[in-house]
Amino acid sequence: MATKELFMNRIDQYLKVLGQAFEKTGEIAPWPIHVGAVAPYFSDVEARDIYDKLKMISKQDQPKKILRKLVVAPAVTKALLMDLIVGLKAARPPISARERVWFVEYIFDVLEEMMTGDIFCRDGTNLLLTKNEAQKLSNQISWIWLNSEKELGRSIYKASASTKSLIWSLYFYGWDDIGYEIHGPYKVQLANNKKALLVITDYFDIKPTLLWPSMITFPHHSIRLMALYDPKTDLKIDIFCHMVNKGDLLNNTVGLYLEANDLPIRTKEGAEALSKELLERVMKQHKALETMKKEEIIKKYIESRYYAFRRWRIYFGEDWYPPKKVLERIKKWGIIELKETGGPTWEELKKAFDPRTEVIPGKD
Amino acid sequence: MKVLVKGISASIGKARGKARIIQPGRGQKLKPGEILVARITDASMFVDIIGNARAIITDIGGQSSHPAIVSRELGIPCVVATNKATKVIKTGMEIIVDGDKGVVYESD
Repeated sequence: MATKELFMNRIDQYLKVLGQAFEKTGEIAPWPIHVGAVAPYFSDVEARDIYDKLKMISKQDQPKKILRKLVVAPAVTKALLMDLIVGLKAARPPISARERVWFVEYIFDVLEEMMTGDIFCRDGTNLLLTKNEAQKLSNQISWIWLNSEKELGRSIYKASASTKSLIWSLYFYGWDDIGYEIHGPYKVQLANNKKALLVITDYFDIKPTLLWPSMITFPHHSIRLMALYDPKTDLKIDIFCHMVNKGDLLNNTVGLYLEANDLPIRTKEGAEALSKELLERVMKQHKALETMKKEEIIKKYIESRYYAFRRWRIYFGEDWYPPKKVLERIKKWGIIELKETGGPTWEELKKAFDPRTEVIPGKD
Repeated sequence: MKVLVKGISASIGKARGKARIIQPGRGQKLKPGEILVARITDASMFVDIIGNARAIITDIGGQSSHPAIVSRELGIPCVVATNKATKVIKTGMEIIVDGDKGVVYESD
């Protein structure tokens, strides 16, 4: 890491890595609708609520311990923070720049306690486990070694990609981290003394029945993929939980382990059957979405946001569901259409995601 | 060989096959071994489409976009951010994808 970067404050570091991650993602096709067309309905109300709750928790005994339990996972916390910052600026009664900076820094402190590496993934790692925990986990796993099992490996990756499809159909593109996190790469040593990189893709919430009651019949609540890569693999994970690597992953994979509902899947047939089951559910989700009006999709998007913060509200004895005020705005305001250019540029977003400025996208 | 489009190399390797333009939400199928050409793939585009692809080419996206990540996992070449692949390439066209260089050629 460059010396200059070491002395940057955390907000500048955060904005810098967000810019890099946006650039690597490139132009996207927001599905089913752009987050920018949803955020105005809820972000000010949500931000005021979460800010007030954080303030109250910060005065309690062991506040960071409480918060670690309330945030779903580090990746989703980072993802939700962007809209929260914009919401803090629009909140009423107003929240000053000083208070916004306090809020963001407090969240960073909580992330520091939840993660074992750089919270902004500046070194290309997203580490949640200690070195010893990762090594212990690697030792415990009954790995499928990929020397002569490339087809099995392909099927396992396909099952993982199918799970990602389900995640998108449940939480949409904006906040897919609500249901999964990729962490690693962890440097581990194998039983034959060879070194490897361990990456864990944890799809920890693929059956959100509170959000989608129809998921009640879906048989899996979680799926986890663990992969060991050749230590020379150029492999990085960014702040958006995107894996960026040079070369293809399959050929650099040494070992794999896939489990559904904590039970291992070790055959090509098993992995293919799981993919089929997942994709059938994805199709059902898509069919359901096709029948929904745009207003209903906006509502569902907002529900997913409130679902992600549900533990905050449940902790205070409140209903997790979006408040009436937010839902009524959909009727009152109608559908917010974005400019044909598809939303703000990174330069505009950078100012918007900076809690020190007053910039709110779309408000000139 | 005639260069059809250039973009960002998102997954290495070379592949030759028939192109198929896929548009989301149209229930199109990809035959095994065909090359998927789309504006972008995303997780809403079923993996059984992507799973059959010999290579992926997209108009937009970057190195950490959905097609890039999936193609590296599946070990197939991928070129993203070509700007115009879905306009230049036609379904049924025999093409060569050079994932190392990020170039797509018309096959001789």
